[in-house]
Amino acid sequence: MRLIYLALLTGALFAADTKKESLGGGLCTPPVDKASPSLPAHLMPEMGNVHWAITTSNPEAQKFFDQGVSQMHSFWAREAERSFLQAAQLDPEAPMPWFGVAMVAAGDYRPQFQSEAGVQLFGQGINTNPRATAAVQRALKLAETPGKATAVEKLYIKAIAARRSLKSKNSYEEYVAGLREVLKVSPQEVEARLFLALQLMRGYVQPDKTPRVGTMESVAIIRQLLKEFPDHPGVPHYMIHGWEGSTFAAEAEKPAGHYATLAAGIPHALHMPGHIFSQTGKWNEAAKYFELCLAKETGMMKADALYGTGHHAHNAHYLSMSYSFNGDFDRALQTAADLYKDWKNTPREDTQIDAARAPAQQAQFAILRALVQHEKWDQLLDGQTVPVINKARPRAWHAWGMALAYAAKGDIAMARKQEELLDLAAEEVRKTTFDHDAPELAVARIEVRGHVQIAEGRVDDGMRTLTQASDRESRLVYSEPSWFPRPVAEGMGWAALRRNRLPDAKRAFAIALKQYPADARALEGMREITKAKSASAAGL
Amino acid sequence: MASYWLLVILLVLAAGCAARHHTSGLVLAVKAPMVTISHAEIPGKMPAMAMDFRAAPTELRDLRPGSRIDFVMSGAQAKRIRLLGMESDIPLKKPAETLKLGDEVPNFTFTDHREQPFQLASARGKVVAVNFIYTRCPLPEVCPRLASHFARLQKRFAGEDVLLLSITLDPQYDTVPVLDEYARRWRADGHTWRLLTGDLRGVAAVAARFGMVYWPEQGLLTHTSMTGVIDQQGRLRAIIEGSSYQAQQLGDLIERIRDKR
Repeated sequence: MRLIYLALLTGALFAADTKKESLGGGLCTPPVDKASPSLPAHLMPEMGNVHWAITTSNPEAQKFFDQGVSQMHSFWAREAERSFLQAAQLDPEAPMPWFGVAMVAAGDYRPQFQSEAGVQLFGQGINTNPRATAAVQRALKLAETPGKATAVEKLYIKAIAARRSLKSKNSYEEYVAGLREVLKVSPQEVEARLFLALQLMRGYVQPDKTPRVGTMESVAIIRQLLKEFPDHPGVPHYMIHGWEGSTFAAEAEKPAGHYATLAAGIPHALHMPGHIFSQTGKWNEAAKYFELCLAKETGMMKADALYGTGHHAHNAHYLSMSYSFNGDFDRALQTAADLYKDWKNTPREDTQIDAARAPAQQAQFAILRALVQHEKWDQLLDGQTVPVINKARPRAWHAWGMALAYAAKGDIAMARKQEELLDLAAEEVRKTTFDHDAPELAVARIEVRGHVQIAEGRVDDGMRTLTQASDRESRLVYSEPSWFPRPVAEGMGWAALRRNRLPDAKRAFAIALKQYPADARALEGMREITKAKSASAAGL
Repeated sequence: MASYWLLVILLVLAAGCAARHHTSGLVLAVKAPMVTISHAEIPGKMPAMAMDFRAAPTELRDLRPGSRIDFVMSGAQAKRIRLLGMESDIPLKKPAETLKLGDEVPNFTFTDHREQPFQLASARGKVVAVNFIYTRCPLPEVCPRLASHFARLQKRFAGEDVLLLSITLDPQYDTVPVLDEYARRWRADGHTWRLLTGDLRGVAAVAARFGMVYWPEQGLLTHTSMTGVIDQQGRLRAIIEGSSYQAQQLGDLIERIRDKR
């Protein structure tokens, strides 16, 4: 077999070590491009209405700068960078367009908890690239010219220069300090307050949803901004991210819906409200926004091959999950199957060791979720419905689903065989990827053991094991869609219900509903318990 | 007798002292034991030029017109010839439709940047060089470099029976007006150098014949680079892989194929 090799894949552009793969569209935020976007940029409708007056002699440059800021606030890094570059071309002496490039080109313009989860889950930070560092140098240089930057603009540039400094020991702290310096001089700066809120946004610790250090300051900043600037797209957008995973997610419902109207030309803005509505158990509403995003984004992908699948795979996966938790198995399966069929992995994704965020991997995970959640065991075992992906992580999840299916059908020997395959694949994940602990696969392993024990007739042991699995699952790092396909407690509830252990079932479904409000399968279980109790009371 | 041995010794020494230069080049023709190479400039010694070299048959085994090599030039001999691979992290199979050298290139019909229809069959009698680019390519070492080569070569071959074709890999975006703007930027004359667009499938089919592998990613097209040279009878005579060759080398290759008529 003759092999040819890609000419353009230089070491500078793409790391050769496939272990160090990028997060791609991971953790919701659309990925940054690997290379600087080409010009020209165009003024685009429905990007969000933001005006940040900068020092420039060219009104057109100001327009593109404003558009770049709007796009940045909706995490559309590629178009934001393109807009900033256009502004820089229109006014080559203005430093602030380069400040904009420096903000977005590194791929870390996203909530801080996403960056930290990236390190925890993938053993590395979010993508970085030298063009952000180069842009800082240009901004600093241009700002030296008298009259080309205000004192406040210079402070903004100083802040991002600290973030991008290769010499800095703690660029995160220095960036935060830089933003605080801006606000000390000019306390009402909307943009600095938003940047600071995003950077302080460190999320909540599971299972109690305890805010991490910085999170509540971020929440307070956004609450105040919401009063002052409800129509700034960054405000409701960051509110969604700052509130997801919290105990007060419902507070963000109204602004979330508003955000989708403020930047309706950006798929991520249509997608994000779904994050909040899935938290509050309004799965229909969540699905509505993911559907809007899907329609918009697939149109854009079909119109332009270079749009990329990074965000779409996440959105389609989340849509499938919403259908599944809403009790709509058919649409959950169809959406995931369409993702698999319509948007193939690139050869690069296929050569990466993990590529957990690639379309095929996300589709397979969503298919397994739907089948397991709705206990479609025959389909799961038919050898056709679940795509076979020969990588450790998808193999592990596939084995998890098969083991549960065999256990449910009472085929203990086959369930144990799949259990072994799950062990082997999970070990491979731990050894070959940065997910050295693979905690979600450890939960999967315990869950399988519990169901096998129940299938063997060791129901007490099984329930104890499943309780342990459920407890560990609840401590997994927050992620949407969830790292674990469906709550362990939900499967435990059904197992208990089928053995007429109604109190165990009720307790398990209650756990599932706490984790995922209005989880249709857990609600269905609760209804079954009521029916069983009524039947028992009636002596049936 | 003594003078005879002195002469032999001097000859041996002279041969040993023949200047050796490590350089790179593009293979124009192979006819063992000879190989014609368009080699790079040897600073202070020799300008870039096409030369015939003698080489050991084993060294010539894998060479063909268009092969990029580095080698040691030792007088009129080419030694330690090494095919240049390309930096990569992704091994790929060539498309099954890839033409072999000597195959007739099937006709294709596209539209050029001046909105004129173009058929390959209409170029019979000319030597045709074909490359694949896209106007949004952000990497200066790839598509802009290939465009730059054609920009130079259109001057070298102006008014001659040589045609340069750049086919876009991104026809959704690279419509006629976009290609026209790109052509203006590179001062493509529209006669010797034409930029072509078509429908996605048509482009994919032609690209596959030249061994191109490409796919869209986030913000760019990842692609191999192949430059094909077709002779006056419509047969594929050379394929150059990659974009790091010199315009002059491609020009030498075209000239060689043209003059071999």
